[in-house]
Amino acid sequence: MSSSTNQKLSRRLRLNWVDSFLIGVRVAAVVFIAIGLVGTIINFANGEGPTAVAWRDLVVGGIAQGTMYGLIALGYSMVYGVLGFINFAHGEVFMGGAMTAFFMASYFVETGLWADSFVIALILVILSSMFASTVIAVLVERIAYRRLRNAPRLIPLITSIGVSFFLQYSAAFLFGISNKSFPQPPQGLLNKVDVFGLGWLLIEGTKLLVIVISVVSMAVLYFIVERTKTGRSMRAVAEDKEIAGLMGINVDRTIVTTFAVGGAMAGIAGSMWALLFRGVSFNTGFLPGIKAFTAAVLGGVGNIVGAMLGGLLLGLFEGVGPLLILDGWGIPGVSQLKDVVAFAALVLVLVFRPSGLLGERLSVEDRG
Amino acid sequence: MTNGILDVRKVIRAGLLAGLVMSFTSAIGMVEDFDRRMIIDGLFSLGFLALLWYVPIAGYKVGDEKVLEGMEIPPKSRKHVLAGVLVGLIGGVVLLALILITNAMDLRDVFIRLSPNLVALLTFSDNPADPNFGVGAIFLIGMPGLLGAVGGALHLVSPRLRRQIVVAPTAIIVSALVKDVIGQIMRTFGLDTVVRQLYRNGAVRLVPAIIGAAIAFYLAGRERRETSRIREFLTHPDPKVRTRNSLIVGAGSIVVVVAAPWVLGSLLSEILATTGIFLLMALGLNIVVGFAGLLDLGYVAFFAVGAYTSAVLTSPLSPFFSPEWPWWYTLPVVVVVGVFAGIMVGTPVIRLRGDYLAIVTLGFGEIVRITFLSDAASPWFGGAGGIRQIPGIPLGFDTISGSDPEYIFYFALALVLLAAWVSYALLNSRVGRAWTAMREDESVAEMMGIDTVRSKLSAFIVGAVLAALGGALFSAKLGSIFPTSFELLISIVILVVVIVGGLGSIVGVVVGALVLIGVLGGPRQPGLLQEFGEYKLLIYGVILVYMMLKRPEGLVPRVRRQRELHEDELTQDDWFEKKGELSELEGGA
Amino acid sequence: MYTNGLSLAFQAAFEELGGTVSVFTAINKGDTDMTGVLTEIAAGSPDMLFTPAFPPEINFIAQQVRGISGMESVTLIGADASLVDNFLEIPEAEGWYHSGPDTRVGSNENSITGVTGDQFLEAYNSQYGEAPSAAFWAHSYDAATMLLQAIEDVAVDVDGTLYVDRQGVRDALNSITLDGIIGPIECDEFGDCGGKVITIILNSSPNDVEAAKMNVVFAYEQ
Repeated sequence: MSSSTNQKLSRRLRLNWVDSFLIGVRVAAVVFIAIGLVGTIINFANGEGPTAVAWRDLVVGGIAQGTMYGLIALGYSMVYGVLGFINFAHGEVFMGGAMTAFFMASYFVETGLWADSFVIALILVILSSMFASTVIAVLVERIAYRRLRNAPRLIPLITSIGVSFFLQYSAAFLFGISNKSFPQPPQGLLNKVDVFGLGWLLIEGTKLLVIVISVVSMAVLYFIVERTKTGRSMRAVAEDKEIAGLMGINVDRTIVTTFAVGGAMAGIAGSMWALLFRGVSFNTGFLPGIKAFTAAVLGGVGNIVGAMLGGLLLGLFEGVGPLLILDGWGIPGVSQLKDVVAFAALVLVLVFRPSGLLGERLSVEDRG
Repeated sequence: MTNGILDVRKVIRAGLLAGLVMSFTSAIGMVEDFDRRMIIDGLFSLGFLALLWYVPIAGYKVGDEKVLEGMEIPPKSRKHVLAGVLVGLIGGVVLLALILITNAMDLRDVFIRLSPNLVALLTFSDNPADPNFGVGAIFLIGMPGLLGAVGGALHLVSPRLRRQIVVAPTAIIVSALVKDVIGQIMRTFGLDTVVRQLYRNGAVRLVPAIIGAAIAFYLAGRERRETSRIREFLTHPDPKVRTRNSLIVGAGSIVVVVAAPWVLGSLLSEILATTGIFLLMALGLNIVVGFAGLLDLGYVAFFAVGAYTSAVLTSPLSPFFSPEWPWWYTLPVVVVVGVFAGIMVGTPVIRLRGDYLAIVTLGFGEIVRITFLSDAASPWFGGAGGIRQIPGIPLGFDTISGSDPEYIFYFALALVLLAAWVSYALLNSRVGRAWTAMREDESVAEMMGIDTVRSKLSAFIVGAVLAALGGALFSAKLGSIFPTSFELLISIVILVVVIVGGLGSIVGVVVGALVLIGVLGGPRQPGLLQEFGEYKLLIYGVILVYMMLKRPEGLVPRVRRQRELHEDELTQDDWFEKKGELSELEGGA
Repeated sequence: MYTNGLSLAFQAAFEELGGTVSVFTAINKGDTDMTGVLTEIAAGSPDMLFTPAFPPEINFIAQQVRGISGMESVTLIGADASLVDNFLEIPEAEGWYHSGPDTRVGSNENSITGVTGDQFLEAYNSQYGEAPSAAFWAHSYDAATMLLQAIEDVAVDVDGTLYVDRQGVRDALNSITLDGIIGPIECDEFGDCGGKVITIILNSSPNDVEAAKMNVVFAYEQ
């Protein structure tokens, strides 16, 4: 009797040790951020560090980056919600869209459409990126993932790592390893636009375009998922595949649709990325892919609005965080630590709130 | 394809796929690059092997049929050969189309390797500006057609003959690819002249190739094979004989392994040493992922921590630590730091679900790398410039550094043996059983009284210490370490090694490391097949996907896992084998 | 790490000549959004920015730098890592200075192989479909020909097996003199060989990369 009480006590103590460690992490994080913020505010008051205008640009840049992360995160989130594994290859789906955008845009420059009618060219570029990404996503599902539907979760995850390698290096060898320069949009777009006529909210044209297109796409997706029949099937299959099948939903086709929709969003993100950063290469998808999944987790995986929100927040953290918090500590070379901030945000969210900000939505098989 | 009716759609699909594979291989430049290496002197290059390898397989597979329980196995007929031929021809037509298009238009804005040189190569023309399409077309379509026919014809022969037909050319190809090893071994024993008779210009000479193929053909046909003899040797019913046999095999293996660096020469020893270090890390990761089921994608962080600890303590150039300790003194510190790192990484992730654990550990791995790289931390770690002038391992009479790969190999071997012993001991201990229980179902394990916190942390700590020790050896070997050596790619490559070798199986991991790192090469290290160097990561991707689809338990699986993953197939396979034996007895009707 | 060394060397030389370095910072390979680091730099109110970064990072810097308040009229200097077509041809590269090896080597002929710089570039392009991705291609070519020549001079063929004496090759390399694509080459005992001309070019014509590479504004000979 006494040994089992001892066991219980010691287990409780041990759990408390882990818990106190985690509490310590939370406290340390809050203190660290607070001191950094104070330091930056003091700097700002003294006229050191970035100006107010610079801060505005940082925030805008972060939001633009964040909307793209959000679009990519949607694909990760939806696939995780339905099939329960991280689709590492999704970053390459995004890269495929960006590459297609590059090839189409270069073609349009050659034929003159880019200069003559930029709007039409841009629309065609976005559509072709969507198409390419969707095709890649659907093919990958068909070839690599379909047979693994019932396998232990580790297997499709590892398969997706293999697919990711394959796609990345195929692109490298087929198209060349050098960085591809996406053509410049017309000069008007590169200037700052006075939004809302306030005089201080000046946003660069391309960034504004990216934000608008991304937000519209996310809204369209939300509408599709919440209001249409296809969306309902997707949500049903995400909830419980077996029951959905019994209710007459074609589970296979719905899963393909999920991949396709996620792919299309990634394609849009790809063309936006190409437009904003004007550079694409075979490994363009790698790091954004990881960060986009981070964003999906941040917002609550399986949760569409969560993915969008997570993306936005991650973009902001990443863009503003280093200068906002780390600079206040006087750490040199702060922008190098951008990725550290992004991953630290992930760790902190998972420590503070493991199911993400808006709560996760997983299928019945994957819960618990 | 039942009883003589050709399933046209299946044939066309298979043919198109074969054509696609050939076109892809050409478009990525593999055919052109590999063409520089000959397999059979003057006759057959690695480039053409890369181009055509899939066609006989496609020709064979098109005749495969799914036979369910209770069905009659349909008889094999000439239709199989016809199907194979068609598959090859269709594939050849696709390839020809690609070549014609490449010749007509300059696609290099998109596909940079579709060049006139490629067209000339595939049509056997001398002048890239004026390709010869008559001969070329005949070859491009005829060769795949022939190979497809061979593939299809394999259905018509007995399994034994099939084995022989497959083994013979494979043996020649393999002996050509490993000529460095064979040549080096022979040279060590003074058989230089033999080497020159067998090989020329890096390829096998024609006459030895034919003789070798014939020998392989004969050997493959023997009923009682060497592996079964060895197995009998080791599982002799009499325990005394068995112990004696095992000791003989064990001692023999030790002699072979210890002598290997000297027999193989310093270039191959270098590859062995690198493989050894990766194997050490793979064994460590095997404990974390294979035994405890924790998918750690940031494993390279522990390696980096060990390497930097050792470097900072030993190098005269380390920014903040002036005393220069000999390497041996750093080992206990490395172990302590490893334990600490394991706790630091493990504790926050204890409560997380599998995939989240993966992405968080990936994040940790990146955080560690970027921290070591950053200017902010360069007063301690040297930043992008890393830490240089790391002295080697002092051994009284000499200092062992990277220029003595043979001795580095021994150190790596020692650490690998330590890791293997630790793995084996843990596997059969209470902790190991706790891990197995946790892997199966965590909540049930908790209810049974297993302290999952302690189990998980133990796994992380052991894995971290092993990787850290590998890091210490790594910095002594390299003499200078840079943050770029500790990228995410390494974590993933090690994971691939563990998975492809066999998750949780110690022997499997060894095999996986030898095959993937030793033969193909690690992320930045060359392996045996140096031509594959560039394409290595692409091949890794393909291997990984293929293994996961066909054989997820790995090359040398943990027996339990194989049963887990192939439950439904096993009964069918048993039945199939019996039926196959019957039809062989009846003469392969 | 290469860029780190260049930056440190630049800082040392600049300060020695009397300049002040207001911000010394770094980016990571793979970074695309340069807003943060450029804002950090802008906070130091610089007159000039020296960045030895490689493409694609330097492409992103060039495209984003003018959009950051405070960086509108900063002089921009790159190093040899960006002395490649990939960067020089983008419109934002106009006005950049680059320090690097003398690239006016098209007509120089390598005395060992007889191949000129232009011929090499043409052959490279026809094989790989793109221009060499680094500025030191001529140095690589000359170095390779030197090494092969040294091996040829030293190696002994005994019945089809080639024996190459390592020390012999090293000694041979030290004593080779030739005219390479980069100019006359002669090695000292440390292995430092020719190519002692560093030039600064001003890219005024991204649409004509060849002309841009020829626009030398300053040449420094050791």
